[in-house]
Amino acid sequence: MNFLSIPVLIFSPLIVALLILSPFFPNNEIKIRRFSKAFAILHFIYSTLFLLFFNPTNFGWSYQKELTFFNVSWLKTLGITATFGMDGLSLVFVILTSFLVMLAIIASKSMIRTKHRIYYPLILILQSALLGVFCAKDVFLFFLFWELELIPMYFLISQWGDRDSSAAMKYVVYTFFGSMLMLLGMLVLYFYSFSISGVLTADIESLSMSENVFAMWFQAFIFLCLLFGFAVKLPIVPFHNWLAEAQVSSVTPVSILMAGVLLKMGGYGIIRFNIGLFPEVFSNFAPLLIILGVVNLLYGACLAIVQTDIKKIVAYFSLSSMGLVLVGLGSLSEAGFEGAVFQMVSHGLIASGLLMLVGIIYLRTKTREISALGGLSQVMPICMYLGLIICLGAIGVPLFSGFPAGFMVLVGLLLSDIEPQAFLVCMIVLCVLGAVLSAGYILRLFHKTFFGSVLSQFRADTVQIDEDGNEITVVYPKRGITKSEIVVLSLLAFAIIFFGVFPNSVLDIFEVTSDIILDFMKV
Amino acid sequence: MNAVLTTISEYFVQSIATVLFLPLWVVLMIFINSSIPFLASKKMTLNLTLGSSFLGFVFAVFSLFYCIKNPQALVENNITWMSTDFQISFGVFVDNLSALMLVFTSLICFVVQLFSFGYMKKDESFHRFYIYLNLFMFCIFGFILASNVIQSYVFLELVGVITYLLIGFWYKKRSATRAARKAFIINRIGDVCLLIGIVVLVYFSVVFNSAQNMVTLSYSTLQFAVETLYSMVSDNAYLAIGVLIFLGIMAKTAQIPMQNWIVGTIEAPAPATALMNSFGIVAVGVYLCARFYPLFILSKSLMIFITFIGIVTALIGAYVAMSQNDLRKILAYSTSSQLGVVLVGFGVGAFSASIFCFVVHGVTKALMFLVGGALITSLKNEADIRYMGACREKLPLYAFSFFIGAISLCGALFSGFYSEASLFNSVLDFGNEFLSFGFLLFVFMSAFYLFRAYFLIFEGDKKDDISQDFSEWTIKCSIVLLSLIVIFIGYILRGCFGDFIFFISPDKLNYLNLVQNVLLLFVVFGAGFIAYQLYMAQNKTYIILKEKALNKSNLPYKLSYNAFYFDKVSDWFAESLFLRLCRFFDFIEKYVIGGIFVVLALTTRVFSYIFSRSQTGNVQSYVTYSLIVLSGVLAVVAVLYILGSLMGV
Repeated sequence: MNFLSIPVLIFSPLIVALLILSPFFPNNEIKIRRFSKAFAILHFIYSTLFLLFFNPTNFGWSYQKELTFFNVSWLKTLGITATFGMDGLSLVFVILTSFLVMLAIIASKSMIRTKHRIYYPLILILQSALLGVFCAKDVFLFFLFWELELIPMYFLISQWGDRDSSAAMKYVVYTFFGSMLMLLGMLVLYFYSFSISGVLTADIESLSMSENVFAMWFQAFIFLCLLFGFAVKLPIVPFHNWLAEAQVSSVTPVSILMAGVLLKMGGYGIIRFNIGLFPEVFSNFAPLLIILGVVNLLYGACLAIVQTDIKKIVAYFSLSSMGLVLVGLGSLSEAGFEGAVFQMVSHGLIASGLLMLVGIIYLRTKTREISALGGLSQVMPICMYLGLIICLGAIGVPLFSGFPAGFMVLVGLLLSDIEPQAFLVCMIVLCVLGAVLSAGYILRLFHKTFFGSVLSQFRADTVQIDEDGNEITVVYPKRGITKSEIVVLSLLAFAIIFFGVFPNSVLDIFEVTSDIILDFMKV
Repeated sequence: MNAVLTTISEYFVQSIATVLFLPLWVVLMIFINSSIPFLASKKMTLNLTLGSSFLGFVFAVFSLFYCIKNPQALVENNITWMSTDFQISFGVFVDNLSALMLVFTSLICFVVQLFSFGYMKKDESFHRFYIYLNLFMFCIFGFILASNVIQSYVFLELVGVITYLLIGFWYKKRSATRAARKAFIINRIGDVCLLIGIVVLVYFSVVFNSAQNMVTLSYSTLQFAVETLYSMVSDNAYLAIGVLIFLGIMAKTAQIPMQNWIVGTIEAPAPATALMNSFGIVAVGVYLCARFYPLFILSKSLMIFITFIGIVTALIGAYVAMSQNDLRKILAYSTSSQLGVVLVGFGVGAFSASIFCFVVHGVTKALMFLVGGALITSLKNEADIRYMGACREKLPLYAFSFFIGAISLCGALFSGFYSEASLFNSVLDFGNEFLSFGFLLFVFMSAFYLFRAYFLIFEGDKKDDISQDFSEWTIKCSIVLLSLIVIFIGYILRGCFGDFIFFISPDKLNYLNLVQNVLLLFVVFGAGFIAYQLYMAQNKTYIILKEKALNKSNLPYKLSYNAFYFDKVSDWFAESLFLRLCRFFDFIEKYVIGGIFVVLALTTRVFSYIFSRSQTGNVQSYVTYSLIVLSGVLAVVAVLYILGSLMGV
């Protein structure tokens, strides 16, 4: 088991990125792409090994490792250490990250045409940052990786895709604003825990022990500061405005990573900090979070119904799905908590699938306007069937991964201790209303793109004249679907069905962790 | 001999899960078969599928035999599917009801698959159709064998998905995809209502039933669970839970106001339509109603609600069917109306009579849809009965089997006689005059539209001479087989219901009662006579009457022809009301929430402009600025100091 080391897991993408950037690496786009693809696949296999040898005995943590420089801790005098560790929760997200980065790199083959030499390193740096966020056991280490993620993300959004730097700017400003408040919260927490316990430490576990002595309003202040940072990331209405724009203007692999992993950082942060450090405050704020979640759910769904840009539909679908996460977390019951985490995993897969579909369609038709699309089933049947599976997952049909999450959240909501019961029942009714709406907009997306007739504007330029002067009709769009796209879509479809049929395969991973967190909350 | 049979049947019952997974295996095989170019064999696809449904039938018959032999024994095997606060299991559960349903579902699946071979032979997506049929079998078997409420829900939604796929089978047709989407969304609305009900049930079962490792909401303990629930919650809450669950059933069985999707099923290939309207998605609703019967029966008002919805749908469906011109639409509305009557049976407490009625309806409706499909194909896809006529001479088999189906469906003869008479009897026993009258009205209208369809299609003048006999042997074979079933099944099964299929205690079906039988027959043949006079005989008075009734401006006719404008109303709600709300949100999103960012950015820009303007490079002005700022700060400090000394700090 010694070969499983978290620092290797986290920093190897960074090192590979530097290697590709270094002048020794051949400046050949195929070589760069294949090298990073091979690395991503290996990295994914490596990360699944962590699952095989996972042993959550030490308060749910496993593979703990402190990174030292010649036996000296990082920022030793301040008590800040570079400690990494994995509990069930981190493990789920680490594997998700590694999986989606792999798929994003495979998908990049057809989506990325320029600046390969910068693109792949940026993706890998992003991967390092994400893994760091999920594995950091120290508050400031967490913050370091949290901010590190912004740098590659800014360039990835602004340099590829629609090359809309204002969207990238919006993303950075929103996130940065949120994380500044978060930093304030972290610093205050750090200093006051020092003033009370007399020990300088930023370790998440140690901090969670000392929190009870603070005054309630003071805890609430820190809680809100931290929550704000995560709310921007999750995103919670009304801090969600960056999401749709950043999604629409970025290129498909980047939006896959954004919807698939970046949003999960927010949910992870809420679990790790807001629930883990301030369980009492959290239980006071729980009804508010449930309401916010329901607002997210319905607001996102309503917006998704009227969008004309298919990528925006998917973006608002993400917003709506994240609402369910908040509802589940707010319910404070085991079923709700596990449902929320499951929903994050499931949404990571489903949103990636939908974005991939949108990307494939955009690549061939050069448009995302829903009114300009139609009839694709006639030329891309394989894409349609895989798309159907993903869409059914997005609607939340049983035996697809969306259903167990939703069901657990709903039951968990009713099982929570929040009074009165009528409030909970109302929230459940609103949540299932969201489920009906999701069927509406996802089927609209699916039908308007794949069914109906091929529009004339595409027919017109597909008629070509061959050498003898005869008209030949080139079938629109020119290609059906490439191998790399099939691989990505079918892996996602497989995962969606697999986790839908065997939800326990995910639930078992973080069962111990969720028990610990919830027990801690009850005390 | 008997001992051997018992052993065999026990073996079959214990391994009944095979039935569930065989179709999935067949799907895989068909997929492999169809994806090999040049070698793809349609025969092989057919044989595999027929094999799986026939094996299902064999398993089902032996399970039924086992259940008859051991009336009290239930077979239940479970595995854990999901565990959090509560455990959710998947499993198989065989009792009398599920064994019986399995027998009929697999039988109809078999016949329909046989029929489809001839029907779909020339279609390019032949294999895909069979894949769908097998997936359908998987879902419906999973639903029938479900051991607990949650598993039922899972497979119920999957049946909805398969229905969506089957309706949208010819996805190049815009009307098909539209109908598919509509059916899915309406069913989804019902499903989520059901889901709320189930979530509440799970909640109570977790709270009151903290015993670990117990299957949540298993059907074997549902009776006890709902009795506990009834004693725990207030009447209104219980009613609300019951209504929510019943809403799911209403959507599936196409009851008012969620009935209009059933017309969309005609967009599917004819065999699939037959399947959906007999033992497909509508059977899911009825079966669920039978499973939840212990819950419904505890609340009097709930039963009244069920009866009310049932009778209203029965009347409206039959009324709408009277004026439709598309043969398949007549049959589809007829499904909705007949299922309304089945629900009336549940509502008045005639459990076994309703199940009987439902089974007979399913078999008959399958026959009529298959005949209709074959007929329409023979007439080069002419589905409008006004342009048909005198088909009996060229297509005697279809005429004969359609007649059998029609006679049975309106309860005059054959199987329908037993079921309808016993249901009518229970309705009379219930003792509500309006209900009894409504039932008679329903019988009248059903008989009318069925005879109207029969006369217009098969008798009278020839209006179109394009009829040609389109019949593969599989088509003829399956129609003959189904006709025989329709003729005899009621007679065979009449002792089964009430003795063997019952709720809590056996209740003998009472279908022989001279006065009532004569009354029913009188109504049916009266309707038949009127239909004959209107559409066949050239009697002047009737022709004038008909002209008057079919006047386009005649309100009753318009209501009937447009199905009471349910579509228009729902479209108005969706588009004018809801979409406007969504557009309003979109406006807020764009200009209010998006605007905040713009305002912030502009503010920053303005300030940066002001401050950059102040960078003049002029030392004198810098000194002035600093003096102003300094004096301001000093003034504040001084004020604070004075205030502090005044307060005595």
